[in-house]
Amino acid sequence: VIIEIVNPSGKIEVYSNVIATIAGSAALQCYGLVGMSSRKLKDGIAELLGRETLGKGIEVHREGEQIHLDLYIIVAYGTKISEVALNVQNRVKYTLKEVVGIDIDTVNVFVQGVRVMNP
Amino acid sequence: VNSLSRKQIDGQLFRQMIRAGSRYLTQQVETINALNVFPVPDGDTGTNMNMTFVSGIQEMDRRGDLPLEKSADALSKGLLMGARGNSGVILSQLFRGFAKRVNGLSEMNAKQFADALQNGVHTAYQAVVKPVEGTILTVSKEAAREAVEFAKKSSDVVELMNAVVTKAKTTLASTPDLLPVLKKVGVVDAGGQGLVTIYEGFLAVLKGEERSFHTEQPATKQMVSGAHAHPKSAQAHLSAEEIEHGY
Repeated sequence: VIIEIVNPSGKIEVYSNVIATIAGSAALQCYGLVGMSSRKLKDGIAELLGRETLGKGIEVHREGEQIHLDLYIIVAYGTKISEVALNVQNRVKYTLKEVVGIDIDTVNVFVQGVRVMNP
Repeated sequence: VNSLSRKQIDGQLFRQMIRAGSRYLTQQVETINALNVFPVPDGDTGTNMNMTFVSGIQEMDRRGDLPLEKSADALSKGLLMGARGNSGVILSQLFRGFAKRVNGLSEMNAKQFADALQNGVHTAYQAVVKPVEGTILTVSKEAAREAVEFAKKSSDVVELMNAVVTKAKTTLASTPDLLPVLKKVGVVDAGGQGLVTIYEGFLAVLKGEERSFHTEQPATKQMVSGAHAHPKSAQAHLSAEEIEHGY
């Protein structure tokens, strides 16, 4: 998937892996999120992705002019998960608008895991 | 001047502190909203923290007059269920850790209070991959560290809270040095301001200043620092080129 931005000076193409990496980094700054996970579960368990493979937890789709993101995340136990997911949506949308200059139409968040820590 | 000295905080005093913190927060909602430029400059940090805290208090009050541990637990549950925004979720974690540490206590002394604050910070830091410093997290961390240090020297919870508020304020004032976007816009962190405001409410109760529901404005206005004394529009000072992203 390639996102095109056309302006009077020419054309800018942004590849989906760029979008995915920026979205992943923005998401990681969100409180309550402990990591991105791969889309596929291993034995029903969500795999926590490392820094280098963040992009695997994000899918970029384009439908005509509309851009949609799917984010696969793991959250911290003891947080309000719906609120953490909402914060992720807002932060990702905002960051992509500011950094790449594109509007994301929908950010879908899939909470694939919850990590329990010692309180 | 400070004639009041206390060694213990029981359930009733704890609830009074929490309620005062909430009232202080409610009074500062607009000021805090105006500071909000991170993580998304949407001007709702004050509103979110206030709604989160009100939810916590409703649950605490619904359970009635209980020992410290029960009230802290109820507060923690209410904060969790009502958490709004990043700062609201962080607030819920700070008090979740706090409640865990006072589990089993009907009242707490200075050392236990400090440990509970410290455990709140410990819990809050566990729920994020990349803690962003210069935020409410930093303010809570430095304040708790001060509490732990202070409790080694003094057993007076009023003095301890006073030290905590002082440290929280100086840390808040330093947030622009830690988070570039704050410096660019000329504000302190909104969530950090919210926590300072709550702590000021705690202190007012411990000092015996907070007796009625109608309180004076806490002296936090000057924390809207520097060049932009009008707290109306920190968000308006953000332009796309100026935004410093941490990724």
